[in-house]
Amino acid sequence: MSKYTLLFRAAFGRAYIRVKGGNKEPSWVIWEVFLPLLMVSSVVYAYRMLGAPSEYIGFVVLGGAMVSFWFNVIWGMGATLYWEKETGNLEVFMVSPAPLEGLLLGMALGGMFNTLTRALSIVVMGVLLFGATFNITGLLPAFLVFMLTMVALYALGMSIASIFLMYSRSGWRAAELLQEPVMFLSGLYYPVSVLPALIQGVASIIPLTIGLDGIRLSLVMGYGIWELRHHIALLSAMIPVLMYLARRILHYMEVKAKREGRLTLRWM
Amino acid sequence: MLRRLYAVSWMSWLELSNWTRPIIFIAYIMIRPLFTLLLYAYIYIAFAATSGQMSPEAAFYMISGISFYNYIGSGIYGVAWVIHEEREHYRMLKYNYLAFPDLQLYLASRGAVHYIIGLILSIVTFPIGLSLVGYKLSLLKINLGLLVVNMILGYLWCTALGIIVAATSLFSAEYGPIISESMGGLLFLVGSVLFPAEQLPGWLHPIVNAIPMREWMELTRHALNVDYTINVNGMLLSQAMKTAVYLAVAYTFFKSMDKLVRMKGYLEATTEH
Repeated sequence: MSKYTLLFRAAFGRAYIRVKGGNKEPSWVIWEVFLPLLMVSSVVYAYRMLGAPSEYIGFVVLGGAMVSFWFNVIWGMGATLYWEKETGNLEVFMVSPAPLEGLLLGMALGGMFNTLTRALSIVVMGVLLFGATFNITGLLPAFLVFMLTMVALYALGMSIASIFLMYSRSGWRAAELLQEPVMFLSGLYYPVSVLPALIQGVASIIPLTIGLDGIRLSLVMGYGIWELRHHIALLSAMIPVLMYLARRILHYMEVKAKREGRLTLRWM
Repeated sequence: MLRRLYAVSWMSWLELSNWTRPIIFIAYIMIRPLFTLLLYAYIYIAFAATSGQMSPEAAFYMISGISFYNYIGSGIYGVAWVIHEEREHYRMLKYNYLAFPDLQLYLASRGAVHYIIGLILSIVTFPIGLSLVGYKLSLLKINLGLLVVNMILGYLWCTALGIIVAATSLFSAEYGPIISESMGGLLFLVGSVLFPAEQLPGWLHPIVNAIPMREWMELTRHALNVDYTINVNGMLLSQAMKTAVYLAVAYTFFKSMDKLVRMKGYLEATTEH
C-alpha cells in the first residue's frame, strides 16, 4: 500500500469514528448548540440594552457559530491526542502502520463536518430567536472565505495536538488559555476594526480573525469576492505556512515524546 | 472538622496549581478572566465607538456584572466539576469517599478555593474594566459590609446549587460536565450579569425568579456603588430566603442521590468520558 493510500485510509477511518461517535448521543445539541446559544443570547440582549442597530445581531450570531470551530480545533483536535494517551489508545496508534498525520487529518475532517452541523444550527436558531438577517448574495464569497479559514484553522490544530502529545496536563492548561484570548482577538462579538491598530495586527495572524471578518462582511454587509481579496490572499498565504509548521512541530514532538518516554505516561 | 476542611481545601489548591510554578499559575488564572473582561468590555466600546453614544450607567452595569460573575462562575464550577474529575479523570472518588465520608462537606471544601480565586479575580478585573470603558473610579461609593454579607450568601446558595448539580452528575459521566457548564451559562443569562433579566422573554421569568443570582448581582452592584439604587432590604430578604431553601433542598437531594448511587455501584463506574 502506498504512503498516500495509507494516509487517506487512516484519515477516513478516524473521520468515520468521529462523525459516527459525535452524533450517536443527542447530548451534542445541549453541549454544542444550547451552550453557545446561552452566550450569544446574553450578548444579543446586551446590545439591545445599549440600543445597538440590528446588524449587530447578525455579527454576534456569526461569531457564536464560527467560534465553535475554534473550540473544536482546541478540544476536538488538540486535546484528542492527550485523551487517547490517557485512555491507552495512543500506544496502539503508534505501533500501527497508520501515519499520525492521517489520524490528525481524519480528526480534522470529522470534526469539521460535525462542527458545521452545530454552527449551522446556531445560525438557524439565531435567525429564529433573534431575527438575525443575512445577505444571501454574499453566500458564495462567504463560502470561499469559510473553506480557506477551515483549512488554515485545522492546520493550526495539528500543531496544537502535538503540544498536547508532549506536555499533557500543562498542554491542557495552555489550550484553555487559547480560548478567551482568541475569542477577544478574533472579534467574536464586535467588528475587529474597533480594536487598537497594534492589537489588530496581532489578531490578523489568527486565521479565525480574518475568516470571521470576511464572512461577516459578505453575509452582513454584502461584500463580493473582489472586495474580500485581501482576506482571501491572507488566508491563502497562511495555509502553506501553517501546514509546514504543523508537520515540523508534530514530527519534532513525536520524536521528543518517544525519546523521553512520554507517550505512555498518564495522569501527568 | 476544621482540620478536615483545611486539608481538603489545601488538596484542592494543590490539585489546581501544582502542575507548574506559582508565577505561571498566577498568569494562568489571570489570563482567562482578563480576556473575558476585554471581550465583553469591547461590546460596550464597539457600540460607543460606532454610535458616538456614551452611557456610564451601562458601562458600570456591564463591567460590574462581568467582573463579579467570576466569583459565582468559578465557585459553581469548582463544586460541580469535582465528581466528574475525581471519578473519570483521576479515578479517586471511591478513595476520597472512604477517607472523607461526608461527600457534601467534601464538595463544599473543594469549592472554597475556587470562590477565593473567583473573588480575587473579581476584585482585580473590576477596576481594570471600569478604566477601560472610561468610568471614573472616584464615582464608586462602596458599602463593604453589604458586599461581605452578599458574598457569604452567594457562597451558600451557589455551593448548594453546585451540590445539586454534583448529585445529578453522580449518575452520568457524559452529562455531568454538560450540566455544570450549562448551569454556569444559565446563571450568566438569567442573572442580570450583562443586561437586566427583565428584558428576557416572559417564559424565562420563572427561572429568573427561582435562582437568587439576580438578587445577588444587583446587591453586588449596589454594594459597589450605593448610587445604583435598588430595593436593598427586599432583595436581601429574597436572597436569604432562597438561600435557606437551596440549602435544605441540596442537603436532602444529595443524601437521597448518595444512597441511590451507592446501591447502584456508580461510585466506581468510569466510562472514559
